Amino acid sequence: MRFLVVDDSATMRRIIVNSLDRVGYPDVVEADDGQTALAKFAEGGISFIITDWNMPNMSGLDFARAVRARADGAAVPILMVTTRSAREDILAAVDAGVNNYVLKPFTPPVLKEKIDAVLSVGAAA
Amino acid sequence: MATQVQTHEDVLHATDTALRLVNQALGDLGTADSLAKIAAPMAEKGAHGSGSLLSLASTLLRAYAEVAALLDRIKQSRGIIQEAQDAHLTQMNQKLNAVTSATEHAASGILDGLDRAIAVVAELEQEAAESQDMVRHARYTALREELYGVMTYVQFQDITSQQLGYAAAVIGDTEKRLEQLSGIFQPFAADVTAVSGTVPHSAPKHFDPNAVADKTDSQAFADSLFGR
Repeated sequence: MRFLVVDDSATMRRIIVNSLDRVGYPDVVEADDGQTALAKFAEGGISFIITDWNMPNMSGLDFARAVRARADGAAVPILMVTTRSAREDILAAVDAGVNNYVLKPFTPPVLKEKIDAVLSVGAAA
Repeated sequence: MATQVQTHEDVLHATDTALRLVNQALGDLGTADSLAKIAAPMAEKGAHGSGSLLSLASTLLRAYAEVAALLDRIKQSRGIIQEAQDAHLTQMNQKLNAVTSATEHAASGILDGLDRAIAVVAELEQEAAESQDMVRHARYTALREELYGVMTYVQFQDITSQQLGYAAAVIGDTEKRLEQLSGIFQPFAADVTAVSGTVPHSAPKHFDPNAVADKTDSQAFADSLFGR
C-alpha cells in the first residue's frame, strides 16, 4: 500500500514517514504542498493520503476537495493530520471529503488506529 | 436614515487632506518674518486708533506659531513611527524567522540522531536475541520505544513554528500599517491617493494561529464525527 504524505514541514513529513514505517507501511511518497501532492497523485499508484491542512500554494482542505473532484480520487482514503482543532474546521474537513482527522501532536499508535479505522470502513463498504 | 460609519482609513485620509490645506494656507500667508512685516504697519496704524487690526495681526502670528509647532510635532511623530517600523518591527520579524529556522535545523538534527540511535539499538536488540539474553533484549526493546517516543515529541517544532509564523504575520501587518501612517504624517507628500488606499492584507496564511499541544476535546469531537 503506497501512502502520499503531504506536509510543508520537513520535520512533520519525516515523523509521519517514520511512524508509518514503524506501523508497517514503508512505501511512502512525499509532497510539501497541495499542488505538488495533486501532481503526484495524478501519476497514479496512491492508495492512501495523509495530509496537513495549513500549507502554502494549496491547503490540505483544497487538496482534499481537488482529489475528490477527480474520477480516480473519489474513493481514496484521506486522513488529515493537523493542528487545527476548531469544531468548524473539523466540520469543514468532513465536508471536503476527509475520511478521518488526527490532531498534532500524535503518536504512531494513534496514527495506526486512524488508518485502520479508515481502511476497515472502506473494506466494509 | 443611514448612518455613515467612519473607518480609521477615512479619518486618516481626512487628516491628511486637512494637513495639506493647512500647509497650502501657510504657504499663501508666507513666513513668520513676512507676517511680522505685514503686522508691523497694522500695529502702527492700530496705535493711531485701529485696535482690531492690531489684534488680528497678533492672532494670526499666534496661530501661525501654533500650526508650525503642530507640524513639527507631526514630523517628530513620523520619525518615531519610522524608527519603530525600521528598527524594532523589522528586526523582530527577522528574529522570529531566525528562531523558526533554528528550531527546524535543531529538529532535523534531533531526528538524525534518533535515527542513528534507533539503528544501533536495533542491532543490540538483535544481538541479544541471537545470544538468547531475553533480559537484555527486553531492555533494548524498551529503549527503542523510548527513542520513538522522543521522535513523537519533536512535533513541537511544527506547532511552535506555526505560532511563530502567526506572530511574524501580525508584525508584518503592523509594519505595513505603520508605513501607511508614516506616509499620511508626511504633510508635504505629493500624492494623496498613495496614502489613502486600504490597509494591505497579511501574506496568505499557511499557519494555524491556534496551534497548541493539548487538544483532547477537539480530538474527541473529531472521533465522534468520524466514528472512532
